[in-house]
Amino acid sequence: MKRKWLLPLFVLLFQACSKDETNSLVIQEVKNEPIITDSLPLHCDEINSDSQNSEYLGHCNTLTDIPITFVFIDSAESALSPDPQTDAETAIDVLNQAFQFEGNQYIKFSLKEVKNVVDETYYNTSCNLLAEISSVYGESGTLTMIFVNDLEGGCAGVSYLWGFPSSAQAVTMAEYRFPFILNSFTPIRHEFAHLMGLHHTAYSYPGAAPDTGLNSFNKLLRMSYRLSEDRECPATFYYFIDPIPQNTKALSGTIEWNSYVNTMYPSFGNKPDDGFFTDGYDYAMSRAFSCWYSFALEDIE
Amino acid sequence: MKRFILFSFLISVTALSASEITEKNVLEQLMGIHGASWSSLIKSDDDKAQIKSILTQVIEQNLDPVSYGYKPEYTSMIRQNAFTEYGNFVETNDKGNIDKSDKKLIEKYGEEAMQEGPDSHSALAYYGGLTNIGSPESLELLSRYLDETESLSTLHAIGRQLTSALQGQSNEPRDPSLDLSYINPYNPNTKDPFTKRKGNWKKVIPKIQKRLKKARDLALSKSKSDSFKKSFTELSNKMDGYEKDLSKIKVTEVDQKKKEETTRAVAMDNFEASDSLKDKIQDSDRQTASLEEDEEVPAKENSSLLYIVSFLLAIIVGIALYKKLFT
Repeated sequence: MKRKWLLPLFVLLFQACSKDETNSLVIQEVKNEPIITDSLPLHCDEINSDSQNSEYLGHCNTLTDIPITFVFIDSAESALSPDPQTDAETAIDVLNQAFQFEGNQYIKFSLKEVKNVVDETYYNTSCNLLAEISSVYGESGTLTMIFVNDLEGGCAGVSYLWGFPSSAQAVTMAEYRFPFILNSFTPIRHEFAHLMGLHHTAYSYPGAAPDTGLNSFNKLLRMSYRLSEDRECPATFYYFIDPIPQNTKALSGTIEWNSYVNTMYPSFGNKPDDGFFTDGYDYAMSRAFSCWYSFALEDIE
Repeated sequence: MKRFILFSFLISVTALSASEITEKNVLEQLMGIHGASWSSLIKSDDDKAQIKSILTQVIEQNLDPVSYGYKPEYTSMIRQNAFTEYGNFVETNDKGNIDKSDKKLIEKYGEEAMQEGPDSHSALAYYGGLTNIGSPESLELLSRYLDETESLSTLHAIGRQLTSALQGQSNEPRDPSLDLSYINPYNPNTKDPFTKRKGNWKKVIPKIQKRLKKARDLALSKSKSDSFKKSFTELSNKMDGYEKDLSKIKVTEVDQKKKEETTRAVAMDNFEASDSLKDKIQDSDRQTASLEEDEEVPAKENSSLLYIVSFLLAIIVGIALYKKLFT
């Protein structure tokens, strides 16, 4: 008789395990200490002084400059920002902090220009209208960050994938209230990552894009359609994807990947790190982007 | 046999518990950085009802996002997004009218939003919700707010949403190079142009047109920007075009009737119609309005069937197990 009670218990356990499988993967926390191996130089001074690893040379702390033009769109009755210059400088600092890891930094954002305009057409606008807005405010050779008052629906920000720097579509747009009123730069960092070629990490919600973190980053490293086979970034870039092997959950060839720690989560507001671009990913992204950027510059010269 | 029963019970109960419509998932959609992507969650009409119920709780502040780990500063924004999305789940009757309980919620939220001001984020979310409802009633109500503000940016936003909702939102191109391309648009009420939607458009379009013209005149006199004037004039011109489109509605209805009659005649000619076929054809006459929704979610029937079968199986097997274990 006692054994018969095991059945309902088993059913309940089975249900508990089968429910919300994706979420259980997402909310886990990684607390392991980093393991540093010989093949995994982590710091620029280490890399630059290592003559055996010549492939790394020239990629560490070269600080490829990414100029940003900020556009603050006001209405006649209401200004978004009391001090656009200070806001722009704050955004630059936050981005530079976000795209580095443990002292390693390969790209550096710099302030090109701050534009403060009155534009009643786009003060309140829609993410669907980015193409139209890009044609007004986009410039080739600079990354344009547009702040508006309101984007229709729940859209917090929008950008083009692979936008920078070869065209005037290097434009990203977000609601002003996120970084400067709600004190969250998450949407800004997220949009910049899109602009530099990074897709969403999948399995973050049902029906999301069919890219795992691993695949999306590999796509970035292959530079999508922008690079031919003879213009690949050095394979050593792969080592920089996740410098903490214990964090990883996926393995593909020599590439290890953790789909939570390195994530481009499409929803935010309740994650321990806000679900975007956590440490390590910024760093890897920064390095990969640095490679891509040099080729991209060749294309537009 | 016993093992089969146990296995069936396990499968059916698990299938029943597999719904993705939870408060947590709905809140995540509301905080989607590129907006909500309901198509990824909805598999049946029950799912739509469940989402609507959770959105109502958020709007009525019976569900606190903070209890799901959201920062308190996001609460009002989540509520705003909930109202805008709620508009996509409001259904209208054959005359294009909104249900009483929906009306009550819309009015209540609208009053609150207007207390914050006609140009506030809450008001803009309210306008978005009315746009998403897309009925003659809701769009006529939306157009009234053109008289409530002199802010050119708000007037332009309302004008853009009115014309977009009348034109049909599915016609807007989605650029695949945008990061938005991850999201499948979910605008069930406004996916078609208004000429193909239910309701008395002849009554409301002239009213909307008149109010938008008045707003345009204000914009032209007040703004110093040529591009803004041009943009607003284009919105007004679009509305003039919709007024002309009203004549198409009658033609469309006649054409549709003719088409249905021809189809029926062909069906009757080609088949020796059995009683059940006749019934089906007659049913399709009666249920034209719900047919489109069936096409919209192809998985609906299968999913609902699975749920019903699972439910019945669970009950039967549950009773059998109860008898086995306790008697």
